[in-house]
Amino acid sequence: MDMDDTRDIAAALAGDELAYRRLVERYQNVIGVQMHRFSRNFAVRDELTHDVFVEAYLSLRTYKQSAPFLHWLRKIAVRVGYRYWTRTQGNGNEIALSGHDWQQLQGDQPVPGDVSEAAELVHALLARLPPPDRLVLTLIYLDGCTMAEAADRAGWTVSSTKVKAFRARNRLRQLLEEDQP
Amino acid sequence: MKQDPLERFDQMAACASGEAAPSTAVVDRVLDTLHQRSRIRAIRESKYALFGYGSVIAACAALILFMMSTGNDPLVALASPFLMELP
Repeated sequence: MDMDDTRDIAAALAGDELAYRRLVERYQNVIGVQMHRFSRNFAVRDELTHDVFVEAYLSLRTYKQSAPFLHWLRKIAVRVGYRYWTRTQGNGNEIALSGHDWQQLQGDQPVPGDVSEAAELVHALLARLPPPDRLVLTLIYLDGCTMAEAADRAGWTVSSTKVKAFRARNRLRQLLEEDQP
Repeated sequence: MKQDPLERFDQMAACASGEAAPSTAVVDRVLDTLHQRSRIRAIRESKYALFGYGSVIAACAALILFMMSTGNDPLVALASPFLMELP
């Protein structure tokens, strides 16, 4: 446990605004990167990051200092991001994929060398899956979590996370094997 | 040769996981939101406190009026609403 975090959390709980400011400043970029997995729109990403820190402040009293503060923040981030997905699911926000994109995804074209292009394609593809499938694959593939870490962040058991990941991969395969434009 | 789509996805996801996002600066907005919330909470709490004190004062006033209108015997005064006068 980081000593700066411990001190700032105690001070923030006692009403010290500057202490909470320091905590937000310390972690806003890390959480911002995580929220970028939930939306590639920068305005939405910032809104979600903001929501994470507001929610964290409001439940700061429930934080038990058994795990690092960042782990706790990441769990809140997953909750906030997942809520955003379920709220916006099916409202036409899907990123369109061209025929060339599908060919790249299906293996008919070389893998894009550019990281951003690959991320754009992966994100657009995952957005076509239901939120639980999307979450488990995002945590494992993009955030690089182990099954145990993904389960911990999402609030699932390890065994149910394994089942969800297996099913999500099957759905992903079906999606990739479908005939796309 | 066409590659297995899931293997292809694994490769692309591994590449995508290294993507760096531009920095975020939300600290001022977070603190503004928290200020607004605490202001709303303070207003709500003072409203509830006003209702609480108001109802206690109203109850005391009603009791005093009742005592004044029923004379000096508080026992009779309390029982009188339940007593029926025989014809």
